[in-house]
Amino acid sequence: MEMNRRQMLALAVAAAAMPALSACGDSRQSKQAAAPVKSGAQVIDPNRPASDDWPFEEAEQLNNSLTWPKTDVPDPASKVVITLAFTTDAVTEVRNAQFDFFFKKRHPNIEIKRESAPFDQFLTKYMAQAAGGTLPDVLYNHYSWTQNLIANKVLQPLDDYIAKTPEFDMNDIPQHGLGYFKRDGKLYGLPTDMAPKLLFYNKDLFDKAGLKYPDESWTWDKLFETAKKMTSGSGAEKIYGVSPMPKPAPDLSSVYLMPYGGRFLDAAESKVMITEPNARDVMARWLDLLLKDKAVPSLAELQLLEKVDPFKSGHAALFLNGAWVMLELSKQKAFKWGATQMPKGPQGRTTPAVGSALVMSASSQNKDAAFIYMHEYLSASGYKFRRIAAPARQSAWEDNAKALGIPAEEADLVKKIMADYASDDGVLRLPANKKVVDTAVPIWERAQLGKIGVDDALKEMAGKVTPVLSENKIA
Amino acid sequence: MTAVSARGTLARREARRFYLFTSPWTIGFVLFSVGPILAAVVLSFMKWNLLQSPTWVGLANYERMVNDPEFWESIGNTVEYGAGAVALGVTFTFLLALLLNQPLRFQGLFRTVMYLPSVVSGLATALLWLNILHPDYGLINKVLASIGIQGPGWLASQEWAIPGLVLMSVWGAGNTIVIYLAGLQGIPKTLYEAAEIDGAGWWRRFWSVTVPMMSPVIFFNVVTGFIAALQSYVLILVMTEGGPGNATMVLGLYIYRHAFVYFDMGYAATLSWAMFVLVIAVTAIQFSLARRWVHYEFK
Repeated sequence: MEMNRRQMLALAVAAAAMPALSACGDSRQSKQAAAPVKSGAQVIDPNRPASDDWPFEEAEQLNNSLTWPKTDVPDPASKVVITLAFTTDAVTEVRNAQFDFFFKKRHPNIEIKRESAPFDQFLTKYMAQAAGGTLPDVLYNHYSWTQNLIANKVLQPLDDYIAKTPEFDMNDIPQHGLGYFKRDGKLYGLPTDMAPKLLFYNKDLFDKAGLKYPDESWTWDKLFETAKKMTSGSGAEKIYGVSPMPKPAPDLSSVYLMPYGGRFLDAAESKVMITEPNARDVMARWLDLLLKDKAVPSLAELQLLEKVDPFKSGHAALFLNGAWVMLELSKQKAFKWGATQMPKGPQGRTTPAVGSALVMSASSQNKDAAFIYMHEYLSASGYKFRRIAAPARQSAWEDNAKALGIPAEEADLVKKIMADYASDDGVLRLPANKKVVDTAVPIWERAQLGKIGVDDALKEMAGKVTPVLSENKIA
Repeated sequence: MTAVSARGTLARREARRFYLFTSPWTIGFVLFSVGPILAAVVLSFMKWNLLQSPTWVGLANYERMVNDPEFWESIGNTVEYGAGAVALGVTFTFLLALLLNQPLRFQGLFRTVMYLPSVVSGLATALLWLNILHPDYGLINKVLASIGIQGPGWLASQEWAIPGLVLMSVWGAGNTIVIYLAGLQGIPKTLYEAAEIDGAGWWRRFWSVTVPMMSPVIFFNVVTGFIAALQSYVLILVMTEGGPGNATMVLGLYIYRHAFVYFDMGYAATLSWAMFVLVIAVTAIQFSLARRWVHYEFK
């Protein structure tokens, strides 16, 4: 049968429409563009892993100088293979390969198969593997993912293994930062890093303005007042008083609202509280700082600056961010910077303690070997070997800061904050956290564009977020 | 062997080869298109988060979709983007194809240059257009400013974000231009000669010969362009993530978010069916309107 042109066209159109139906199965086109890490396609010599950043001799020397902790969890009697799934960049992968190299020398019966996926694709990849029952033995977990995996019984509690490890030294890890990985008194994840948020400042801009640097005495009122004073210029020459603008992110409460006694959601993440006066007033103040004083980068400005942070490029006087950015700041020479504690509010000072973790899958066939690896990788020696900028084990801070060029006083500051008041309290972590944020952010963006007033925005936010919170109920 | 049986053997052999050569596509289609399509039908009646066994929820996902304001908002955004992208894309690329069809020096070079954006990666395109559309430093607003017009906020504005994306969609339309060029070269020269003898000027020749003869090609590009635009979301995900204020939350992105951010597979499958219905409805409307303006052969 010969088709005429009309029939041929109809057939072509029908074929083109087919992908719409399979969109659900076919739409995993990742936002690879914005991926913060590389997939690590480089070739690493397994017998002598090294790179310009991580020479083998240095790794060997450091490895030999460190004391590796023991555990009563027995090494496997015969060869086993454990699979590890991390999200790392190409540089860090070399260091991980070096760690694995020396680990295998200490544990000859444990073979390591390592996988790496970009952060933006990681959860999707391993959720699909979980559905297929093929999770790796050990995998990376962002703090906002773990509670969902625990609720779905995908993860293995680690308490029994820790109990068999007298040298574990749980007190070396800030206990008030472990809430993301705990449920019903059991611990399901060991942090790979943990740090508070700090107030960073550009010393050059403060010197130019003739103002004193921020210090521990600062209140949020002082921050608002100074941010207005420090704002100047326009276009490419613009200097913002402070960055970033708060948004309904997981740590909104802890960074911005709790010093005033406000919260985005209650501690159980079952009720929206952002319309209450303490929270509302803070949000209104920031909106004024953006719309009236133009002291915070707007949405339009942030769009271009997405890859070039205003503070890191010398265009913001004050910067509220995690201690992990100290590594990057220490490497740049464009301006002098300093860091201090978060400002105080009427209800005191708060800051989130956040970090990721390694978790063990409940379906692992080699749990003992997996724990032995996790234990050493996340021991103080493991942190020191890997030169992590924000180690969860506080005893590794000093050595790592020194090795990475982070000023000693800043490292001490972080340790003090972690010991004194940094906490997981107020940081969203229950299963609906991503949906809560995605529901609230567009409404807040409309407020940032001046399309809607603060009260209407917060009311709408409460109305739309409240039904989502039912997904936080864990049986 | 008789001639009849020889023909039968030849026909069977040809049939075997036909099926053999089409089998890679057939197998791929069954596994990767028919399979997900059937799965999406079943999943749309279920609740499934990938970590637990799916549970039957009947029509709950459909009921939720009908009452979901963000779904309707995404439908509106999708149709707006699709209509804009197709109208601008089809017109602009047609005009460009007309120019590239002229017997100029360096014609091949011009054609290559126009096709080049089609081979640029999505990320590069996104970053480029983020800069071009930037309200303060972007090329478009700089040009507008030079003639005294203050440009809009583009991707940072709820009103102008979709038009901004529509502008971007024209970038990389090289394939459409190729199809147009093939169509233009297929128009018999005798028709233009006859029109010229009848005293037709360039506009009459364009309107009465080129456009009718190209109408099936234009229609093809409109239909396939609409289908592609209604499903597109990757660049939007990279550039705006659906913002600001959900202004660019198109249906494809909404499906992606439910499937691979919230892992709400049942609802995502339901939304996928909504997209299918939307595509079919828009295509059906286009086919029904086509009878009025698409001319096949020399009818």
